[in-house]
Amino acid sequence: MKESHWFKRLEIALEFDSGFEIFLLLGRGELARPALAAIAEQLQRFGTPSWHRLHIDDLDSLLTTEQPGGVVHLVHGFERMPAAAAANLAARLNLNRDRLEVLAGPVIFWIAEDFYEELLRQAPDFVAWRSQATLVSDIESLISPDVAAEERLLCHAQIEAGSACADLPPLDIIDAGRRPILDWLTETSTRSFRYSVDDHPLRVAKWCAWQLARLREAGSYGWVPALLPSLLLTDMTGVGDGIGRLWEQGALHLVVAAPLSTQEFETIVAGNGENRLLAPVFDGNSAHASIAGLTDPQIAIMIERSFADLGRHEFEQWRIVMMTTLRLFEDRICRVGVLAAVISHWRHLGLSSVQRGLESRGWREHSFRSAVSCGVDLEANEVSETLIFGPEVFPQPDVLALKLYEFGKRMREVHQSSEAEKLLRASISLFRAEGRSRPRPAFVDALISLARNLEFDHEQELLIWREAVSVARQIEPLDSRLLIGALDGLALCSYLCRLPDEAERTLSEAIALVDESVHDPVLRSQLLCQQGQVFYEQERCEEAILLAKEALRILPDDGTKNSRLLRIELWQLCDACYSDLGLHQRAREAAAQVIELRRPLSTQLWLRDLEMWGERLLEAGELEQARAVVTEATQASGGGIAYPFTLLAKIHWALDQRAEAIEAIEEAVRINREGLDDGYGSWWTRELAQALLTLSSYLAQLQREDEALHVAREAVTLLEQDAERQPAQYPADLVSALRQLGDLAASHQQFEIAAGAYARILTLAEPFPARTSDPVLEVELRLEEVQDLSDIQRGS
Amino acid sequence: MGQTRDAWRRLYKVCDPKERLHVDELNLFVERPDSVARKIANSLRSGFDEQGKWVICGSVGTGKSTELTKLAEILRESYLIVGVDLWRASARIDEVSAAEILFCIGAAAVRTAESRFGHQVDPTLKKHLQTAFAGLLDDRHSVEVAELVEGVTLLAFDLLAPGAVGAAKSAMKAARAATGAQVLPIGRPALGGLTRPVKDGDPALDALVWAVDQILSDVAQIRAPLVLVDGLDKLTRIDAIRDLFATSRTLAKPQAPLVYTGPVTLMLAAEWSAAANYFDRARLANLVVAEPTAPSRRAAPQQIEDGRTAARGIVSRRCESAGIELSSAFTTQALDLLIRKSGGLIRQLLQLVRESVKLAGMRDLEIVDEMTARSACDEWRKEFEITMTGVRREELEYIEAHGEPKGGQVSHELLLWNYAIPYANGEMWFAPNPLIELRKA
Repeated sequence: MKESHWFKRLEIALEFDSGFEIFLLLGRGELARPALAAIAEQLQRFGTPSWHRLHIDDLDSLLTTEQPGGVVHLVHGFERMPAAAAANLAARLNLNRDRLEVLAGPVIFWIAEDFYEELLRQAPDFVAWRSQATLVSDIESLISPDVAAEERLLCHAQIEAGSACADLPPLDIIDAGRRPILDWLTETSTRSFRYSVDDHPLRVAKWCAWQLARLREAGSYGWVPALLPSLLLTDMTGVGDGIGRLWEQGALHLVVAAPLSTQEFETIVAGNGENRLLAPVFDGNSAHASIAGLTDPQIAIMIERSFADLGRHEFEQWRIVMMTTLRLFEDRICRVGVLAAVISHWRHLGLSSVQRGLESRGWREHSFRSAVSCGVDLEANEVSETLIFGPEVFPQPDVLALKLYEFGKRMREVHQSSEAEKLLRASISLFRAEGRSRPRPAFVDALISLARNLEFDHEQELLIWREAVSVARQIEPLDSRLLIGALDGLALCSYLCRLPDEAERTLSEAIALVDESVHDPVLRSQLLCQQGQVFYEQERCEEAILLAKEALRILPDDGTKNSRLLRIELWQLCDACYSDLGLHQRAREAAAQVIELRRPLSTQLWLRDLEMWGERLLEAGELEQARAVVTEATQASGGGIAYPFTLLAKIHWALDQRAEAIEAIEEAVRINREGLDDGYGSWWTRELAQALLTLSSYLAQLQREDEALHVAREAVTLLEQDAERQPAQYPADLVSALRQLGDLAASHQQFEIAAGAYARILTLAEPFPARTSDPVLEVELRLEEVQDLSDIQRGS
Repeated sequence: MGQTRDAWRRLYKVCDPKERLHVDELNLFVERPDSVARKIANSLRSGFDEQGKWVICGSVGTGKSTELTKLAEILRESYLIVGVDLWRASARIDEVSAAEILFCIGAAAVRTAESRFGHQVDPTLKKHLQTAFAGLLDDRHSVEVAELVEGVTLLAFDLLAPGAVGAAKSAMKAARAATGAQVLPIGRPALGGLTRPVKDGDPALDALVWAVDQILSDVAQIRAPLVLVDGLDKLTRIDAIRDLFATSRTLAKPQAPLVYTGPVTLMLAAEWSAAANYFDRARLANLVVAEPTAPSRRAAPQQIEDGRTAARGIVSRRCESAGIELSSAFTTQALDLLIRKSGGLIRQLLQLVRESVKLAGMRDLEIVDEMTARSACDEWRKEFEITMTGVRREELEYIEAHGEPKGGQVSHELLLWNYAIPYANGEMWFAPNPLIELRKA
């Protein structure tokens, strides 16, 4: 090798410059690792070898920002990917070409010779950066046939496993059960076994598992069910750590389409004396509604086997397994025949309440009854006990489900959301187990309660609402109000999940149901309002207006608060729709209705509406009307809110009523100043500064320069103090105030003040990207100008 | 006086293909007498082409992106430069549709106005852009359009500050940090193949054109916009080129002056003829440094001499930057050989110079002589051999004889990879890359 032309050229290049250079060595793909190892050995004097293996969707290891110095980077991996994946990665390498510079040293890529053309197509810019691309034809003689054969087999196995992902049976076969997938995996493993007695089958299975996990991350959920058995097969041999790694990366959200058969379960656990990893695996599944999990005997076996950890005093490990198991199978744990064993060992968990309970006979019943009767004061542990031991107290599932629902509902009313969720889920689980042939209204109520409890997880909420609607439809005789309630909730949730079509469909069904059976005009108006809001989001403004008008027509004018609030929503919808359609006069009429309705309901909101109304009139140039509205707002505010005065000042200024404008803005300054004195923080500071800057600009236009400068400087001082509190944030307000101060000073020949303000802007911008923005660059030029003028002024 | 190894190292670094040209480094580049940027700028300034649409096409490495940079620099005071880095914004450039490109233009205009001028484009218009684009999406894709707006990559040139090289580079780093224009997430960019196939005149496409026009009109409150789109020169499939430039006129629709970088294949008359209805072509031909290979083509001796002089100028500037005098670094014969073997491709010229400098440095030579230059050329010749096939050789022989390719995918790849090089002097002709030995001795 040392005499080869390609090697000499590479050696010369490294000797000449040991900085970041790209070298492409082209040869047989499967020889990547041994060939690079042999090369690295010969190039030791240029640096320690640093290996990088490219993975699908993974350039992280190559592009990590902390790279060691004094190394020769050796990169391979294209040879272990299916062609499409390699092309894809090449394109990404090309896009990230600039980032390769983090590799502060020579980088030697091994490229499979037959992939080079594709690399040229997908990564032309990357290839253009090369210092050398050479065919390496004579490396084979340096590599022993055994090593070459093993590497070839490994590459084939990995490419095959990667390609095989595309051959995985789609969902319809998965639905047929787990057997075909297990067969497929077993077949893959068997084939791999032929390669070597080494750990190749493990590598294949793990690689396959990783592939599938990534597919899932890419949204190809349909293939993922095969991942679980693959992972288990890998880990049960006791060698792999696939689960742990997936767990860390949050990729372990597996879908189990059907319970493991006894045979499958035995196959999986047979290779290992324990199965403690199963519980975390199934915990990973818990987020998915369709989990089937293990059968009762399987759970029992799992729990019993996990006691082996106790025998070895691995308490922490046992504790994790047990807690996971209890959490996942809490509604079934009493049935699996291991309850006594669980209780006798539970003290190892160290839960004081449980230990206390174990000290007295009959504790279970007492605990559960107290939980149900005075649940609002219960601690989380007691809720857990309720969930676990409830079945013993109320053996009839329907009664227990109802009790849990009531308990959960109470917890929800006192805002104990997470506890409420546990109870409601347990209740629903029992209702589900009861079957859907003749579901009961309480089942729907429990689903509705749970859905309302899931405030921040709209996707999960959507599933629950759909189930609620589905169950409510099956209740005999039909409970229209219950179904309408479920439909209403589903519509709102669909709307929030940006599924307007589903929202529209659902609301249409609810409205039809109201017309057929309930005949409640308030409910109908409410649904029409929601339908209108959906139409508005879909930019179907005309239809939305029709619905809003219809709702306003049928809504009884009974003067109640709810009725008024609904009317406000309907007029707001009209305002928004008319505005979008460009019918501004009508929009303003609708806005006026909102203000009138709001007045008796909420002074604060009414004032906000008045301000917005005034702003709109000002924007529309209807100044006299704007002045009347905003004056009313200033009076109604009792002189305690600054913004109406600021707005009034703007209106007066636009009306050329300078003295009144100054008076109003000074009032805004006074109110803000009081707010600041009261100890309110940053917000008041900025509000006061803005009012002062407005005042300053008015004074400047009235030729009262000294006062204007004085006021602007006060604003700057305030904002400086504010900026000091948040040093990591770019002080945009302060920069803007300084610019105003600088311009004002410059225009009145106060060049030193101007120079000071501009220089301060540059100092402030220095640590931030904004230093290269146009406004800051402009300030740089302005500073040069005023410095010159300042020098001249001083000289003269 | 001869060169030391340190001096050779300096020159070696100055010729590094990894070092990009920055605005203030353009002086390392000899401005070509037919500067495309200057021509387009003059055309815009003269007022005759206020809504002009240009495609700059030329070989890979001839400086198309550099011309965009130069154009931005010339016109930055009089136009709002809206730059789109399509290559970085898309996962697979060949799958990018005209609708996606329009969307990128709209999004880039919004982001440029906001980030550089603090100008907030009317939110209704932003919504229109998103809605119109959402109406074109293929049902198979679930895409968050609002996120796409943020993901469109702006060209980095308009973020460069004037000043010294160091200042420019630090500005580039700041811009990278602030905008992500250069530092990309390792994850795949989003664009490419997102939209369903639509033809000109489709109402959904018209709605998108309307939205983009309204945004361009909004940002015109700052300054008249000039849109520069880089990346389409990287198209690798001939049918993708035809779809974008010939079959449809969508790319020419926005109501603003527009400049695209286009693939070298558009230099072929047959491929250009349909696109010529909507665009002006700005050809970035290579320096003519040798007689055409085809007997039917002619180049005036003066043009060849001018080309060689320009190439010498480029090498001279690099030498100057490394503190070396050209005449003391290369013998006349060596430099002539390197220039001839470069085929007038600037990137290839720099690669050959770099290789010869490395050889001279390692051999402790005081000057690059003809033998060293020949060795350098030989190293790079071998790289072309790697991907040479019978079909490609046959096509190159045809080009050598006739001065033009036959057309089609093989020709396109030869042009894309610089196996064949285009030249112009009023008319176009092509020649095989002089590094390639078509007939082995």
